[in-house]
Amino acid sequence: MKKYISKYIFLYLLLSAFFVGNAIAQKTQIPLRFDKYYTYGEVVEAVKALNLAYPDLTKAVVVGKSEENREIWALEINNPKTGKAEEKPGVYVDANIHGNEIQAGEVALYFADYLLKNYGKLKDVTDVVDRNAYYIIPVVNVDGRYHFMTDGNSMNSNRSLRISRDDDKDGLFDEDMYDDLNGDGNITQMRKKVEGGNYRLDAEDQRIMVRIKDGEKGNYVLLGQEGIDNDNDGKINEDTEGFVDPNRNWGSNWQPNYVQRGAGDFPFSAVGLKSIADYIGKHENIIIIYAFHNNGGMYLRGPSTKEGEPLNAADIAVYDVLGKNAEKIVPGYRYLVSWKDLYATYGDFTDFTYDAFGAYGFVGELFQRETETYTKEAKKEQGEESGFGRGENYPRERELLDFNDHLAHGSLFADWKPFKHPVYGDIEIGGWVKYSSRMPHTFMLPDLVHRNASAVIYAASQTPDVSMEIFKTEKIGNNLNRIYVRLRNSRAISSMTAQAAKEKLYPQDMLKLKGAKVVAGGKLINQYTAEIQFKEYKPEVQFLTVPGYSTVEYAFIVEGKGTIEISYESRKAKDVKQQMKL
Amino acid sequence: MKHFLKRIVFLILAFVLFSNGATAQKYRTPKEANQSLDAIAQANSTKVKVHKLAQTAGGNQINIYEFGTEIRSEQKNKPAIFVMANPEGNLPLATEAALFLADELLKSDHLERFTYYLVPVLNADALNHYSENPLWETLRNAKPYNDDMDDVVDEDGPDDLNKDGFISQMRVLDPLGIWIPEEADARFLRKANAAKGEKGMYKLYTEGLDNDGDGIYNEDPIGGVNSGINFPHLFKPNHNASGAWPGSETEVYALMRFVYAHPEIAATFTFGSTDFCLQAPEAGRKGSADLNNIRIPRRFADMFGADPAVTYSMEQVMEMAKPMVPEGVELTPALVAGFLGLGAAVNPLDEDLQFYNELNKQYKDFLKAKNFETERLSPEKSKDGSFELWSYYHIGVPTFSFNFFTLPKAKKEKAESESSLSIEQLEKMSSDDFVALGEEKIASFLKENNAPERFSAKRIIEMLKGGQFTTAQMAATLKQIPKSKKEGELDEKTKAFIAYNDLTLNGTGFVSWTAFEHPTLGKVEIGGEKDYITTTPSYEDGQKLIAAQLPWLFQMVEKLPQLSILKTEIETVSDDVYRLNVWIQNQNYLPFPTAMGSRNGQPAPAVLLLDGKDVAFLDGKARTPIAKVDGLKSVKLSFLLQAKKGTELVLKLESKFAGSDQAKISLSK
Repeated sequence: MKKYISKYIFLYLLLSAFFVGNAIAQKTQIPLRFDKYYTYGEVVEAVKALNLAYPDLTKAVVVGKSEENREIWALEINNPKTGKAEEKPGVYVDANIHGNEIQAGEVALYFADYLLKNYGKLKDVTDVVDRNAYYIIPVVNVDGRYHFMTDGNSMNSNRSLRISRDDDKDGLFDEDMYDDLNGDGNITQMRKKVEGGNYRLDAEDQRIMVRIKDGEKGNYVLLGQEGIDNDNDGKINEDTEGFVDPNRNWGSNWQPNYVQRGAGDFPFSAVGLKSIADYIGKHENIIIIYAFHNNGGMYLRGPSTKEGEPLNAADIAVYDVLGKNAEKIVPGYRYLVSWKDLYATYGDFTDFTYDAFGAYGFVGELFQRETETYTKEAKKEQGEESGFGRGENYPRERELLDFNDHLAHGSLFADWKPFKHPVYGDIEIGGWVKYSSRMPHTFMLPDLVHRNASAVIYAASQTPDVSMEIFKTEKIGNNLNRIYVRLRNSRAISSMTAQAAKEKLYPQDMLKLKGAKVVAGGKLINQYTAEIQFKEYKPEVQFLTVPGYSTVEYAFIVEGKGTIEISYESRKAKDVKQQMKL
Repeated sequence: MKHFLKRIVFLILAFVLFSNGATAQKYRTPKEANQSLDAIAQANSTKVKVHKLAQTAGGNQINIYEFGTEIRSEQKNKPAIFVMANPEGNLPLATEAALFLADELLKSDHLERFTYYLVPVLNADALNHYSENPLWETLRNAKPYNDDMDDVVDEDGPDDLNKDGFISQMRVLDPLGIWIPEEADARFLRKANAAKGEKGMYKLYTEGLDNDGDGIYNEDPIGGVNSGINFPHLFKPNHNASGAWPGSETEVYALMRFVYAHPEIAATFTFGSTDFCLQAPEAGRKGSADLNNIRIPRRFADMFGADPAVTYSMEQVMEMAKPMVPEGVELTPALVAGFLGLGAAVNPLDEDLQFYNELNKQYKDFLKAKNFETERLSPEKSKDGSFELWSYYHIGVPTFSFNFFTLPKAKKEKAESESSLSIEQLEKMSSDDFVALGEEKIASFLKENNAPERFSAKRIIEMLKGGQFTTAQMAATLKQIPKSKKEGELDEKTKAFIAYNDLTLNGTGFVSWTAFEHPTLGKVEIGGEKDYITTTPSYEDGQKLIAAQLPWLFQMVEKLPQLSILKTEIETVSDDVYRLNVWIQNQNYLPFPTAMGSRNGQPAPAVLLLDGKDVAFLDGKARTPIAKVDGLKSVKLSFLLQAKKGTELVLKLESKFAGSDQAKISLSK
């Protein structure tokens, strides 16, 4: 009887779990949509829905929790029929580490969605799914994404983690945030009509503020971003959220806050980031990392600091293959070196994963505002940027507003409207809204997510694939054989970063011979003269790396008869082995 | 009934521990140290609280013991002293000093004014080795680490081949050997100098087997990380067992979190291998920033009128920065470097060195007054990634350390030609007195101390006379120079060891070389210095050393910054308008905060709060942060207030780690 009841309860639980699951699946459509931005809650639901829709290929995992106790979710993709995840090269993708860099999360979601929905349909996708294991964290800064969408923000605010800091050194923490005075969900600009001000309105478009030249008369001033002096210290918005920058808090070349703004108190003082570091550390097979940010249209590789130079040439070669390819997959994007071409940052994420875990890493800076056009010419000059509010490029600003009017139908710019400010009196509030400037209008989102996801798919197709060939055996004595083994990596990415080998992060790949006594063995220099660079001790285990598009050859002198086994074991690449009879 | 039982159990426990303490005259293991402190906490439950911090890789519990009267409150009003004992786990004596301090704290009235956070040992896994057989010193915790990057981890550590309970050394006659016996004492080996026609005889190994058959001996011993150097300042990954990244060890990570959660920490004391009480943190490191090829970061480029793609010299950047610097602020390369984020400070700031040097002097006098022998081998220099450096450079608080024992220097027989002057004496002399010794004596003094040739006596005299150089600076410089030794003479460390081993220890600190048949090396001799001998005196001697030196800590604590409202002054400016002047003083010697604390902006500012009914602030604010008050100095704050005559004004001075104060004042003349 008791047994019967427990069985019944079990069935009930199973069913209810099924129905709950279905309810979620119904709420979140699979395949996912990319004509909108998902809220944090919807991202979590999307991860769960993908897992539910593809239970054989995926796992949904909670990696850790944020400062405000939100869950950080990962979707893992692996086809168990082609092997365990940890045996395959790992591809890690994360996004939205900066709270305001929303569309990055969509790229990660799209990447997962695209792999899964095309598995078994498109050969290339099927291949990369079968050959690799994927670890995808669509939103790293979960608090940031939540607050960006929920609270009043500008396109630049809410970048940091929810770790309060005393930015203005007055003994109080985060006490003077921005204030969404007009309650429209955006932090825009404040302007005030003042005779003798240093701005005037553009004659053609009064939304544009024109900085006056010497001798001109102005009648407006800009008062900065929407806000009041919350702590009554005479300054407005001087101690906003954080500031701990989640991409300055990692444990490689970390420097304190007075050297690197946003560093946090110590490496991994951010608990969410620490959980991610632990998660990546547990998945030792990860060989390539993509971290998506916005904006500017760049694929950045490390090092992020000058101290990280010089990078090993072999590693640069791998980066070049992937980076130059990304430039073509995403037109206009540039493949650059972080510290040199952009600026130096300490405690950077991809530097950390390269230095500590031996994974190649790219930062994808999504979106170029140049693509917001309203012009007959198909192609615009590169590098032309809006200087709204501070720049001088008024024709371009007019064009951006035209884009807003005719393509975004007014959704990117909040028109100036009067407001009674407690300190400034009669002012106007208006300007570019938070979903503008750094991320595309959703009509452009499908193109952005597809192209950038394709850059990662290309990288996934280039993870190391090492095959073994016993290409020659020679009898050199009564009971002695010389065996020649070739390892070939048919892809661009090396089986181990040169940096990891140089810094001795972990043991190199191993070529082992078992089943007979190995008298001598080593790297083959010349097979015709049998010149071998012998390893004096323990010749049955050879340590090596198989670089991209390369072969390495080894030879063993073996004593005895019977079956031997030669195995190649690698932390990142898939292991292979062969048996042969002597 | 239950209560009664509990009491009995407690009494038994206390008795067991007490009797242990009374009879066990030996250094405690990490577990025993915790037990002793736990018992103290239990017996003094109103004054001592245990913070469970973390477990090490080897399963040792790391605790922070809080001593004070505010243990029950989240809000701390008293300044706290953080004591880190035995960060590297190699100094049993340092852990004993923490226990000694615990007793002293409960005996004294210190806890009325200060909170103490006490860590009895950080690298507890390493400390465990002291009580193990065979005796083998390591700085590594129990985290596995593949030193030789082969296919096995921790597989080739030392072995006690002769079963004498000690891991010592093996010397083997070998044509490839580079070692030869010292002429002065054949027990010790030195490197042969081929340039002088010497040929090596011996190869030298740590006692052990080639357990994994790779041709190398003892290259992958048990353990991985020295948690004592797992802190972020000047951290280098996987360097001398430093760990993969700063805070990679759970105990270090948890400790950093704890320290940042306690802004009331006003100073740290480390009981370890450095002694900042005797000698200031060393300067002279080369910074990571290349100040000759500076790129102005993009975000500052406009402000500087610079091109972010171009590199500039420091002089050029200073030139660009000039118009931006407010009056009264001195433009220095350090200021520019800090502002541009060019790199971290790697040398103690000059202003801080001033108090270090002064307190070093006072400490030496303190010891001298106790007839404490100060002629001993110098304590070690601070290590990259150490707790002390992190405390000084990142927490930005006064950072002191004690090293309770190094070997006494061997008494030297004086040769006739020698100047009979020591560097310690030089330190205390005035320039005039030193110059008065005369060129000849100064020249022989310089020679004895191995001064480089460009430091000729003549030049030194000129510099001292001209005031470009002081005797203290000169002493500091000479201390950095390795001591020369005469042909055939032993170096200072070996001489000190011989004297200590032969005279104090009756030879028990050294394993005599004895023949041994090694399975792979053949005929070897096993012998040499025993581990821990040079850092760990007998328990009784250790207690005496602690008792003589540790009390200085209590004197130092009295010098920590203490802020108060020195004076207030009211002037009537007009009807119902008053000028209020307030002087805030730091009544103690040490600055609020250190110069490094000012640079890194980590120590919390003090705040002056003004409150009164219907008071309008015409000039100044109700809340005024105070960033800096140097030792024994005051700052003046001025306010213009509008209020009714006779309004009561309450002034509250608050600081996280330098005390608080209050004053009342009535607005009337």
